[in-house]
Amino acid sequence: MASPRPSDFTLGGDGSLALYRRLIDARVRADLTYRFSFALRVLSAMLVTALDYVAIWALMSKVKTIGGWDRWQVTYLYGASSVAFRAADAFIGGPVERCSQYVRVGTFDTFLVRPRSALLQVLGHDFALRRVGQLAAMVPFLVIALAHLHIIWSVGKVLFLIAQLLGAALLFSAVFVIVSCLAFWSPESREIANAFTYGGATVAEYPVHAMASWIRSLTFTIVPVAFTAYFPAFVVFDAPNPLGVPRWVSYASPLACVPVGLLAAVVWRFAVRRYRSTGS
Amino acid sequence: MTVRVYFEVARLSFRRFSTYRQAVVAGVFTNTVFGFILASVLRTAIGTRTIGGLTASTATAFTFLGQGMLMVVMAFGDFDELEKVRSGEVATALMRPLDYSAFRLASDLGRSLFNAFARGVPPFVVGWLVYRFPLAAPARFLSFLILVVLAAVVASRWWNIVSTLAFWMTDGSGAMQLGVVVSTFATGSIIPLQFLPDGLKAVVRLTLWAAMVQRPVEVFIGIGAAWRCALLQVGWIALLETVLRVEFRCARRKLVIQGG
Repeated sequence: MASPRPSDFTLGGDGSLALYRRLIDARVRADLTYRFSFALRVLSAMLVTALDYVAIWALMSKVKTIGGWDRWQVTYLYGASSVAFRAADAFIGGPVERCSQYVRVGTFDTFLVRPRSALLQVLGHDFALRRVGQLAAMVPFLVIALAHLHIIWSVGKVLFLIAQLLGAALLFSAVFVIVSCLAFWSPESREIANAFTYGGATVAEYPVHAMASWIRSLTFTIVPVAFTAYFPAFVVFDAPNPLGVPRWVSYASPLACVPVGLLAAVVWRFAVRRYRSTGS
Repeated sequence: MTVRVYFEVARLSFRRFSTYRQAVVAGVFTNTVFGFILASVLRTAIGTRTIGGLTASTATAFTFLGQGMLMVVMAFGDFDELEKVRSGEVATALMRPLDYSAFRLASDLGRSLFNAFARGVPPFVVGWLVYRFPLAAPARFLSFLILVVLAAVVASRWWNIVSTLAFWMTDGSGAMQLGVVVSTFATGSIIPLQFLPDGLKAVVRLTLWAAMVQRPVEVFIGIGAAWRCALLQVGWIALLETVLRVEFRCARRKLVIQGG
């Protein structure tokens, strides 16, 4: 047997990926055991994400524009940020959020004594199909918004859109990992994580220039969700930024996930090393 | 004598929830952050207009009060109770020589009361310190407090109806989740129901969910009559209590303890 390794980001090579696939497989089978309840859960999960949009739709019918952006522009923000956020939630966020529970109960030990990446085990342990359902529920919003926006399409723009969604999903994932690490210090405080993850996702649904200036500054820095949909939107719409932020920032925004991702890797390693199991 | 028992149940439930200090701080932080996000959006969107009686200022008060009310009415569902049914633990509670419905109400009210103080007041105070929105006059404030209690009763009855469904479903989390979906939206805590199209607004404002958050908050900010809200709440309590009692009676016969 290989000696236990506390944690790492190695993907594959040691069979971690194969393990991950098997874990997901097991979760999917478990999900499908209680079919009726599962169907209700998927339905309600899809509804809850879509209801978020009803709030935006209702708001936009009454006020017409927010920060000068019309219904379809805001819908685009909602669609693009939500697709990325739900993708992050389905594969990284949802499972990693459970760390607070593992730490509190002490079951995190099991991930550490197995000679495979602890992070991959965590990600496979609580994979849930309903979150993929939520992701699927968000795609139509993005597509419909894009169809209404009279966008001049080019190959470059399509590639940019894909890069943007990927970058945004990775950025949200990194935020999920970072705030979930809070569990290793204070497992009871897990709700704080929601302020950054769900809170960040909510802010990303609206044009950032319409927000209070201190919230705006936060979305550029500490919780950089402005890079998920807002900045990229100026490339997609071919429009100037009302805050005077240069276009190259928009073009570079898919890369914002790189520094945040690196930070997540560092924080995760640090947090796991700090783990002392329960009763200590 | 029996009243005393229920009072003790409520008191102990209050104490139980007051032990999770870090969780309370974390929750207050998150509710406050959401208050600021939603208030920021609404303030920009409304601007200098008045929409359905809401100004930027009253909408701000609405948002922070709404965030504070979330935990009072358990807007995120009662998964604890669900788990008790699923695991069969509920059998212990059913064996007690108490009225189960009243027992559950007492326990829920203890929690709601704790949450009203610990999780309801702080976001509101922080929001007020930043935005200085107008507060309710003492008389109106007093009626608001009564409406909050009634809202907690409506919420208790509603969540018990949902969690009791688990007697028939083995895994009731789907039903609970669906309940959460409907209530987060229809309580008006994501966005005030004033923003809905008029026809839909009129219907949703009559639901039990609106009676939990939207209607009491309207009274606080001075755009709703307290007696109308109270009437709606009492009507719902009567209806839900009836449904719940029937449900409990059937559930008692149905009880299957897993693995037993």
